[in-house]
This record gives sequence, C-alpha cells and structure tokens, in this order.
Amino acid sequence: MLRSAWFRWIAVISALFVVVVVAFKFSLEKKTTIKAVDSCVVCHSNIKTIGKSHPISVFGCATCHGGNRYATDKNVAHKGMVKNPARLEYASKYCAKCHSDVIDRVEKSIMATNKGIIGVLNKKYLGIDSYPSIEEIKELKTDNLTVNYFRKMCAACHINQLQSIFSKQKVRGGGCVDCHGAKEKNNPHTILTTRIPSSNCLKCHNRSNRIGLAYFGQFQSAGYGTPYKHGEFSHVIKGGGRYYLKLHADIHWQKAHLECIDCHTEHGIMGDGYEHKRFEDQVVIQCEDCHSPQFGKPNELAKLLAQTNAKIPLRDGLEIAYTHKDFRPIYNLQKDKNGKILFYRKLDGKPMEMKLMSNKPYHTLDIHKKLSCQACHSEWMPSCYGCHVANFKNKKQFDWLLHKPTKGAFREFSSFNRFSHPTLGVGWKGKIMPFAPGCQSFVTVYSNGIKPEKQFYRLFFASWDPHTTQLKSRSCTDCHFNPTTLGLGRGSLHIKDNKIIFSPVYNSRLSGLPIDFPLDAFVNIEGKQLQGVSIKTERAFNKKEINSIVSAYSCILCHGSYSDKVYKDFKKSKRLFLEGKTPCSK
Amino acid sequence: MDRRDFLGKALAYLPALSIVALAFPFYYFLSFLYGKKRIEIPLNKIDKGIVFFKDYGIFILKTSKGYEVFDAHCTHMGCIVNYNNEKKLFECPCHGSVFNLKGERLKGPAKKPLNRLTFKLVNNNLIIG
Amino acid sequence: MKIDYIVSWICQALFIVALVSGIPLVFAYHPQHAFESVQKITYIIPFGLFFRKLHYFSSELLLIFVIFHVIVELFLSYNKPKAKTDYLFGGLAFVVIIFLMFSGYVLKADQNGQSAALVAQNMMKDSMILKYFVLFLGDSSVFYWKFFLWHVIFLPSLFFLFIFYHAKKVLPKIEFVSIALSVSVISMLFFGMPEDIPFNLASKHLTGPWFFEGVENMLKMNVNVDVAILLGFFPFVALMFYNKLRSKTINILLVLWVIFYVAISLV
Repeated sequence: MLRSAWFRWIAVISALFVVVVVAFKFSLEKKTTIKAVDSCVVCHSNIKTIGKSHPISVFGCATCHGGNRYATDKNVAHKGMVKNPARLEYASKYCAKCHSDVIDRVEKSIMATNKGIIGVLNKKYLGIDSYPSIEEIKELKTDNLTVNYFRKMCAACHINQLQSIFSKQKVRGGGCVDCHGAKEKNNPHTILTTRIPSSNCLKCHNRSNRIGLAYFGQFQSAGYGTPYKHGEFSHVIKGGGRYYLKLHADIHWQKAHLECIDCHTEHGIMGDGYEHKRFEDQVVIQCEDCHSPQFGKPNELAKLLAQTNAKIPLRDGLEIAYTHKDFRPIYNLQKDKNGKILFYRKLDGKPMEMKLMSNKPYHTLDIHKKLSCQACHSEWMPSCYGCHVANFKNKKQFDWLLHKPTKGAFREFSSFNRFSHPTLGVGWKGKIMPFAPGCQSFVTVYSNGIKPEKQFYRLFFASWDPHTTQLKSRSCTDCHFNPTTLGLGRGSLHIKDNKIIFSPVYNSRLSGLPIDFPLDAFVNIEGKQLQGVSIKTERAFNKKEINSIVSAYSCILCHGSYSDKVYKDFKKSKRLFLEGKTPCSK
Repeated sequence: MDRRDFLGKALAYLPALSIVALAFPFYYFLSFLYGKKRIEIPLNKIDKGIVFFKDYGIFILKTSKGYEVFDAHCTHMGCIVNYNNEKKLFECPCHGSVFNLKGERLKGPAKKPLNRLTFKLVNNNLIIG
Repeated sequence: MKIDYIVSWICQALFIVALVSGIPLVFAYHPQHAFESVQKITYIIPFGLFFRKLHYFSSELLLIFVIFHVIVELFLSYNKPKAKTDYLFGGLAFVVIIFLMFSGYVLKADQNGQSAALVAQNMMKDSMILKYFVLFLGDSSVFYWKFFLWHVIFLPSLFFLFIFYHAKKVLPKIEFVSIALSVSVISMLFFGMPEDIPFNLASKHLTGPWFFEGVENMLKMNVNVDVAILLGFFPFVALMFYNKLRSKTINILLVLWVIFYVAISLV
C-alpha cells in the first residue's frame, strides 16, 4: 500500500491542504496585529482617554473592568467583565488594587451608609436610637415605617445607587464615579478626576437641607416658576418640577467662585474609616480652619493630593494649613516663607489671598464667644414648615434599594416654605447655631379607603450650616429683638411691665393642625421647648437666655454699632454701668 | 531521469511540504516573542535624574533639556553597564568599558558610544520604538 | 498492507505533529505567569492559537488512535505469534501519553487546569502508594514549574524511549505525518477547543480532562482514592503484562472494564 499511487497522492494532497490552510491563516493574521496593552481597544477604539491619572496606554481596560484582556472575541473577552467597576462592591476588587485605603473608608462613609437619615427617621417614627446602614436594612425583611419610608423616599441618593435606573440627565450613584466621574463631549467613557465639579454634588444635595441650592443663591419656593419667559416657566431647579427664587448666593461663591471641594476635604467627604452616625461627625472642615488657620509642613497625604490635583503647586519650603478637627491637611491653603497666605481653587488652581478673621470687638467680645460663625454670618436659611406624609399601605411605589415597585406608597406635602434670618438655638457643639425645621412630620397611615388607620405627628428642629454666608453679619436688633431668631416664631414682640409678651401670627389650630403652638415656634416665651431635636445635646434657648438676649436690646437701642465707645473696653463699660456711674444706669 | 521517475520522486518528497509549511508560522511566532518591543514608561516613574529599567535594559536620563534614553547594553559584548553615581559614569562590569553621561566612550575595549534610543512623549508617557 | 500497520503509523505521526506544534508553545509559555502566557499565546502572538489548537487536536486524536490501536491489536493478536508484539513498552507508553495529556491539561492554567492540578496532588497525598511520589509533582497552584518540566522534558523523553522499543525501531513515515497533520488541521477547523475559564469568573462546574471523568465520578461517590486509581489504571497494567496473562478471563475483564468505565464516566 505504501508504494501505491493513490496513497502517495493522498499524502501529497494533505500536504498541500496544510500549505493552503497555513497561507490562509497567514493572510488573516497580518490584519489583526495588536499593539496595545490589551486587545479591548481593538473594538473600543472610540475611547481615547479616561482621565490623566489612568492612561489607557498603561492600564488598558481589563485592569479595571475585568474580563479577558487578551481575547478579541466579544463573548470570550466580556466574560467576567464589570461594566462599572467603581460600584463599591466591585471597587473593593478593582479600584482597591491601588486605592485600597480610600475604598475601605468610603464604604463606611456617611454618603454610602446613609446612617444619619435612617437613624433620625428611626428616632422620629419609632422613638428608638438606632443607626443602621443601607447595607444592613437591605437585608431587613421586616418593613417598618422607617425602613419603608427610607426605601421609597430617600434611598435614591447614596453613592452606591444603581446608575442605570435613572434617565440620562438625572444619573446618580455608581460608587466612586458618583463624585469622581465627569462627562466629556464625544467621549463615551466617564472621565475620572479629583477636580470634582459642584454639579456632581448637586445631583443629590439639592433636597432636605438644600445646601447645594442655597450656596448658589437658590431658594426652593413653593412657587410657580414666574415670571414666565417665552411662554414657559423660568427659574426651574435642575431635575424639573421645582422652582426657585434667586437670593444672595454664599459670599464664597459670589466673590471667589469656590466650588464645594475647595473647602470640603478628602476625609470630610470620604470618611476616616469610622462608621459615623451623622454627617456632623464626619465633616471635617470648619470656618476657622481657613479663616484662623494653623500651619504645618505638608505631610505625605498633602503631597499626594496636590500631585493628583495637578493644578495646585506645592513647592518645597511652603507650609500648608491643617484642620482643627482631626488635623487633616488642607493642601490648597498655603503659607510661604514671607508669611503670605494663598488659597488655591482646586478646579483651576487660581490663587487667591486669604482674608483672616479680624480681631475687631465683634469677634473678640466675651459676650459673643458662644456664637458660631454661622449664627451671625448666615444671611438666610431655607425653612420648610410642616411635612405632611401620607402612607398608603396597599399601594405600590418604586423601592430604590430593590429597584422595583413594592407595597407601601408615600406622598409628602409641606405647609409653607420661608426664607428668613435663621432661627437660633444651642447646637450640638454647645455653640449657638442656626436652626430650621428638620423635619415636622404629620404622618397619616391609610390601609384601606379614605379612613386613616393611624395618625401621629413628630416635630423636630435641627441645626446645620445653611451655606448662605455673607461678609456682613446680621444686625444687633435682628437677634436681640426678633422673635423668629429667638425661636418663638413669627409674630410681634413687646415689652410690657418688664415682661416680654409675644403674640404669634400663625395659628395651628385654625390651620387644622393638632398642636397648640405655631409651627415655627421652637420654644415658647416661658422657655419651654416645643419641638424635638434629633441630637441630644441640641436645644432651644431657655427662659433665662431669652430674657438676657432681649434685655440687651434696651442697650442696643442706643449703642447699636460696634464703633460705639462702650465696646472699646466692654468689661470696663459694664462695670461702670453696674456701679451706676454711666448716664444709662440712672 | 524520465518523467515517470521524476513524478515518483516528487510524490515521495512532496509530503514534506506540510512540515515545511509550519516553518513560516513558527518563524512569525518566535519573531513576535523576541522581536523589537514598543516600550511605554509613565513619566512619573522617572523620579530621579537617572533611572535604570531592568525589564527593558535601558537608562533614562532626566536633564534640564528633557529626557535621554540609552540602551544599557555595552557596545563591546553586550553586558549591562552599571551607573556609577560618584563619578557620574557608565561602567561595564565585564570588560571595563567606560562611558560618560552623553554616552560617549571614554575608555575600554568598546569602540562605539552607547546606543541612543529615539522616543516620543505622548500623554505623559515616554514611548520607545 | 493491514489496518494495524496504518493505525500504528498514524499514531506515531500524530505524536510527531503534537511534538512539532508543541515546540513554539514552549518558547512562549512562562510557568510563573501561566494563565497570562497561555492567554497571550491564544490571542496575541501571531499563529499562537493555530499552534495551540494544532497541539490540542493532534494529541486528542493521538489518544483516540492509540485506543483504536490497542483494540485492533488485541483483536488481531490471536493470529500473531507471541514474541512478535511487545506489550510491556506499549503499555508504558500508553500511560505516559495519559500523563502527558493530563499535564498538558493542567498547564493551560485556567480554573480547570488549576483545580485539576490541585485534585491530582491531593489524590496523590491521600493515596497509600502514590504519596511517596508527590514530591515529583508537588507544585503550587500558581506556579506550574514541575508540571511544565514533566510535560516538556521528562515525559516526552520517556515516551521516546518506550516507543523506540515498542515500535521495534521503525522510523516515522513522512506520508503519514502529512496525513496526520492534515487530519489535525481539519479537526481544528471543524471543532472547537474547550474555552479557558479565567479566574475572575465564579465557575459552577469545573472538570478534569474527559478521559479522567470516570475516576472523577468515582471520587464524587467517595470511592477510596487507591481503589479509584487502581480501577482507572487497571487496563494499562493488564496490557503491560498481556503476554503472560493472555487468556480468556483477561479479555473478558478488559471488555468489562471498558463497559464499566464508560458507564461510570457517563453517570
């Protein structure tokens, strides 16, 4: 057989066949030579950059997205791939290859856990002191009022929210990219950046205490989008359905165009590794950190941050500011050898001269040492009075954690919105802080039909920095003889026979509310606190404090300005007054 | 040799073509493995004045004018030269050739200066080849 | 010209194809970045996939043809004189092929390969006899140095030695090599290779090579490791000493074993 011709021909034909196949493969092979780090870019060639810190030429795609970096076949390459590796559950695997310390902190930070919101709701609705995180209530089967309300009304905003459930303009969530992602024209991929634009913060921070709106001078009105422009509503808040009035923006925005991240530090935003209960515990920055700063040599973190920012120079021999709380670096506030203090904007690196807190009498005076900066320098505070929550047990509403409609729907309506000089009270640090309703819930639970199953109300006030800082503080009268500021609510204040008399404007009973005091009254004239607070140490003014504040008004009538002589040496003036040696004491 | 004979011989040897055919893919396979590589180095890795990259066998010099890249292989017998930080010279440990920071030969058996590699800077990356 | 000659020549040729297609892979394979380098071979290096597939299909075909070869020889052995066939080295070579293919399976170093390596090592540790040999294969699941050495150097050398005696110094024929090559290329064009399972993917089911399916199923049933190994390798032992054992019983046992092994593989 070996010598027979047909066998030889078979051998030759098979040899030629191999030659043909090899030649064919050869012609295919020439077309697909890959010169990149991974073969993903063969198809995804439209993605040119994802930000300077993560060049595709070095990282490729698979380092972050997983999948098979060598495969050119779509199905094989995409196996095990993650579309958004920045979501926290993936970030601990992909981003954490380099940023492990940050990922650990972010997972425990307030914006990922939402502990504050859930905790305050717990306290209000159930009267218990418990601050679980989102991850913990996700597992919870028992749908009590707190959890249900949170799932339906609040859970849309947390950094690990699923991006795909939003329409394109309203995207929130997505883990790290919720803040660190920026969109660029003609680039399908999100740009990763540490120069975070404020619009990223505003995606969420335009509700509740509305810091994001107030800082830019927007007050959410109950209004109607007037005046109409070109036959349409004007003054529309991004996201639609709500309208604003234009008030004074924060001085930091008006004058210097500072973005959110110019003040808010890395640790304040991403946490320090502890699971804080409330944002107050996590936020690091305070007014005095910049306006009466403490300086030190830049530490490693400061150098790293300045390097990733890439716009702010951090030269040798400079000193940078450190926060008073926790001693965190503020690398964009720098003091050079001559003692010149410069503040750099993080987005564009533009330097500005820092104005320190002056030591004029109004700042140094002993009687005002209990005041926080916000108490005087906040011009207005958005206050939303009365939150009427209707809970329909049998109706369905979209659950933001399960991402599908589930039983138990909620509707909310307010009584009225006001902007005004903030009401004051004693804040959680023991200093006088601005207060506003937060929140005054009137809850009605319906199970079947229009007959309510249960009705109850919980009225709370809360303190925060309204982010409406102005250079000029409020006037003396504005605190010392203004019932709203004192916490009494709107109305008229008289002094009759050495007694303070207050008659309120708002009447809750006539408005159909089941309470005996006006909605805007934090405290009554007897010094009895009428509404609750969610932090134990916070409270309204007591009777003694109200009396002493109002009694100073009689002096302010004449000595209404700090340029007045009595303030030059106030101690001495007071002593002389008490000893009866001044014209007033007679 | 007549036609019949020739055909017979051809039939006997032609099957070897199949093995020969494999030689070309084999060659391309190996030449890809050991051929010239495109090297990309992020600029922030060049943190000192002179950095040696072991994986690629190159020195990168950061000067006031910019960057310079030298092949670390001695032009004599191809040993990897050492950088002497005190004398600011490249010294070959095998046969004692010495080069200065411009790559010029100062002494030793090597006859040519160190090979200077061309590169370009793209997106904060230094790309060679 | 008889069928037994053709089959044995094709077996020999297929081994040569497997050997030749394996040579380029050796250059590109890095035991310390095993999976990475396999992926690189598969997707990046020109003709990498070609050689890998060729290597895979020629060796699979080799195993199939060797089984065929054994069956044919056993059927024809009645007509042959005793001394003419060499069973000892043939059996040994068969075992070497099994090990070669198994180590090749491990060397692809994906999740399947890794688990196969781990299972093999732990089987050896559990076994009464084989635990003394674990040193030769003991390797971490990340580095594949020892498997690489066995697959590339020791086992092929052993195979050459055994097949040299077994084939009575008959040299391979270029015609058969050409045919074997084209058969491998054809199967390469028509059949797919099992996909690699990367490590970032949670895999529900990992398997060993198909010829170990029976042994694996025995392990699933908690059969003693030594028994499973013995049952798995019974025919090889029987073949090695077939000249002395040749009888009706052993033939029946072999047939029974085939039925048993096919059955347990399909359970």
